[in-house]
Amino acid sequence: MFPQIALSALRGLLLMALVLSTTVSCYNPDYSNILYSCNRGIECPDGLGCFQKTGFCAYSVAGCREGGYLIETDRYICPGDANNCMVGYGSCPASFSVDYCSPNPSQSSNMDIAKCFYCCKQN
Amino acid sequence: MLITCALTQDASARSYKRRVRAVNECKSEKQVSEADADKSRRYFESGMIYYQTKDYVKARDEFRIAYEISNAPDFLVNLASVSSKLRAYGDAVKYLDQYIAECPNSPDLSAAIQRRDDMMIAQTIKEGEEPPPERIPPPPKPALALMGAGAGLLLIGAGLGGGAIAAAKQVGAPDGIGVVREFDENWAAIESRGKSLSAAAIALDVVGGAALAAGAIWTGLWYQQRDGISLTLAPRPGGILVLGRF
Repeated sequence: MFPQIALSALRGLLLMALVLSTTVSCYNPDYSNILYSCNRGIECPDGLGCFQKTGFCAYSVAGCREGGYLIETDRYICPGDANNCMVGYGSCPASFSVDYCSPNPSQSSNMDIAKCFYCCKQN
Repeated sequence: MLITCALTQDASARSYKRRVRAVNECKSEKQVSEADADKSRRYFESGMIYYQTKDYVKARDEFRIAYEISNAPDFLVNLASVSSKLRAYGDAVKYLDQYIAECPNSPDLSAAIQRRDDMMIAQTIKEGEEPPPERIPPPPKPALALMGAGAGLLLIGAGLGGGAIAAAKQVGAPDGIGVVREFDENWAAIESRGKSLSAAAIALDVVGGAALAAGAIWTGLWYQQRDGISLTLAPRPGGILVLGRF
């Protein structure tokens, strides 16, 4: 009697432990909804770089001169009013936006909202 | 108090006061008060009703209480009879042995002995019908402990991982639409805590997983040696084929 009950309980416990441990083990923040500015011009969350010209924390990406975020394939959002698209990239024809960016750098009236460029690969 | 009756050949439950015992039939009987005698009789009568309606478990309980109150040996016969109905032949033998010891000069002694022998035969037959369940020894304790410890570490690791995920969600959650957040010391501390929790979780998961695997392999090998259980892993296109015999 003991082995059947004990082993069944143990099997369930092991399965639960394995599932939990494989799904719940990593610190991996999603920065798609939040834009960080660099603290004292240097510090950013791990994995992001501080781009001095813009003052924002961002990834080094192909579409932005001063860092940005990949939104979709070949479509980038580049925070900062001095953050132009890289050569080979230009303003995206179709609009898209994220919450922390003004859709047009020149039209932002809220000081908290970053001015962003939306850069897509030019064909 | 005097409860008297005679053992019938079919050893059915006795009626109350069927026969007055002679003085020397049984060893000294417990002296009980009138109130206890009356109480015992009520339990006896209740037991008889249960017996006649074939509710032998309740009948046995009632006879047992009646016997505990009065210690009258005739209740031992009733208890033997009801135990026989419940196929608890060992109990029946025990009660009849007790009765034989208590009442060595009873005229129904030979009938009691015969009944006791019948019960012993019935018990032997019953044991032959029901082979004792095979006692399966558990796997070695160290193997179980290793698996338990591994599972515990995995669970703790999962808990710490949950803390890391909570920190990650906090760092990635916006304060409001369009709000730019400065990465200050507080956020750096949250990030540091999340990374530490994540590292600890991974370390515990690795150690726990290793302990779990070792314990499982140990247990598997133990079963294999004992029962011939086999488990084979065979690589196949697109995965691994697991073959087992249990």
